[in-house]
Amino acid sequence: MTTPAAAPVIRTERLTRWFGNIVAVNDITLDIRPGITGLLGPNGAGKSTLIRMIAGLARVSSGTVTLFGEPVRNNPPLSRRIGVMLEHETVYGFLTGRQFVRLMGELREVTPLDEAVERAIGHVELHDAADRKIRTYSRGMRQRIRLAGTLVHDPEVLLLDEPLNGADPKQRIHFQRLLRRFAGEGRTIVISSHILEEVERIADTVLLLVNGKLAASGDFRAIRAALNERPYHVLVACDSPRALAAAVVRLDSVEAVKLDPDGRIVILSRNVRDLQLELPKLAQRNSVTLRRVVPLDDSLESVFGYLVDGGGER
Amino acid sequence: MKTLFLLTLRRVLTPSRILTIGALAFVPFAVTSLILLIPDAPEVAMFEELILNTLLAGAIIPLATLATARAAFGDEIGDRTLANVTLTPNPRWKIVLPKLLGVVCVPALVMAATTWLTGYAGYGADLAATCAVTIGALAAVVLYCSLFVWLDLLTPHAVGIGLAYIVVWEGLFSRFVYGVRFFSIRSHAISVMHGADERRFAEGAHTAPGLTAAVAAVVVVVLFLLSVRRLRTMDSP
Repeated sequence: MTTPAAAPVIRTERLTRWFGNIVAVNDITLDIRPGITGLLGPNGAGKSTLIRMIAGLARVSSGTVTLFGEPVRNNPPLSRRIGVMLEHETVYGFLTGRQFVRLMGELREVTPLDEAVERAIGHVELHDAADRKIRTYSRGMRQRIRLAGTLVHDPEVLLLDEPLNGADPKQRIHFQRLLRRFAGEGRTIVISSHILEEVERIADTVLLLVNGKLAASGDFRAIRAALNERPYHVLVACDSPRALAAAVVRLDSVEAVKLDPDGRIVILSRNVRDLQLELPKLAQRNSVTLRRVVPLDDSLESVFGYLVDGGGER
Repeated sequence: MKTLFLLTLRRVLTPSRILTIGALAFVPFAVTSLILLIPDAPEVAMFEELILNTLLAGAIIPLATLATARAAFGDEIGDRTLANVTLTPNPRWKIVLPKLLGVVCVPALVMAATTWLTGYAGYGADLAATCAVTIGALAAVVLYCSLFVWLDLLTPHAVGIGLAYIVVWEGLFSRFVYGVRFFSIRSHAISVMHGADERRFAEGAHTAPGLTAAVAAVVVVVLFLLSVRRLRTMDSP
């Protein structure tokens, strides 16, 4: 799907954007080639600002962005080659779905228009609801019609900011297939998300953004491998904590065990999958009743933090 | 450009805006009609000063255009749909022009109709005077719309600043501070009315008709270019 030898389509060099005293995007240099690139990072990491700068919608404070070797800012002809779907809903509720896609096609001077509109609506499988006003659509449907509007001029580059927000599982699968097909046609697709698993399913390459900086980039599998080795803290509440702690510490999947002042056990494990399987059996063997098993640092921020702070170094 | 013009028209023609413009535009005619019912109706000069200068050119037209101008870019920025129109292969002037025309045409039609009725009633069916005030009102609509469209691109507080401008600049400074008149849209509108029929607003000091027309045209072009420039340099939400 991704051609390693393909020339970069999107190139940023020392790209920085300040909003007052806050740096949203900090000194990012990257090349994006044809295929699907996932832009991953917690909320507020600078993903949307980066996408908007790549699209030419936002100014850069310093650095450069080029698409196909051309500067993007104030380069209207380039917009024929780019499809952008921003995070926020950019639809006109007073139009029907078909009118919206048609409007997007007219604004981008698409010919033949009727054919392009039907094809775009077909891509998102929304023919049945295409003649309803967008204000009557569910969130998932609005996302789909926005995607149709993004695709109507058949762009070579797709910049999609959190496109799966509001989509149901069936729509997600359809969307993933659609993107893979487009990538197979040689298009360059950048998809941003704060959900690791979502990007993992779609993207070949990942760019990890944290606090406006490019924290990691490369093949997703390498990042996932680093994640699997990540130490997790798991809190266990039971009726006999000392007995369970003594047994748990002998497990290969456990690195350390600690009893907290409330009589609960905090386990540090580098293999949570094995721990999940072994812990109930161990409790049963030692006649211990488990009351609660809670991962303490499973939040997205802690995952990104781990990748940034060392475990994810590549 | 036709697509953007129609999209803007659609945004202008919302029930709330139609109601606002219609209600505002009706006020000068209603007040004129009421005044004419008074046995000792005021003189023409009083009608010109109170109804045409203060009410129509200084309050009604700027308020109506402030409401409609927002449909060009203010609404697009507010609901974050501006990227739909900026991410197109069109040069920026081809975006600003149809949007400006879209927000001008509705208040222009409504104001022309009600100003004509107001002038016809106030001047006692004097057609030349009626046409003169209608032309002046149309000039004011175009000038105010150009200003407010640019203002909407410039700041998210365009409505507040626009209202302050109407009250402070047009309502106070341009009336009472010597020399400011030349920078007042209201004064230009009155000068246009006087230029189209010299019997009207005969008592005041007016800019020469040719100069008035030239200044009005330059102001519209400059505001248009400023809007184009702003659209080129701003961040699209």
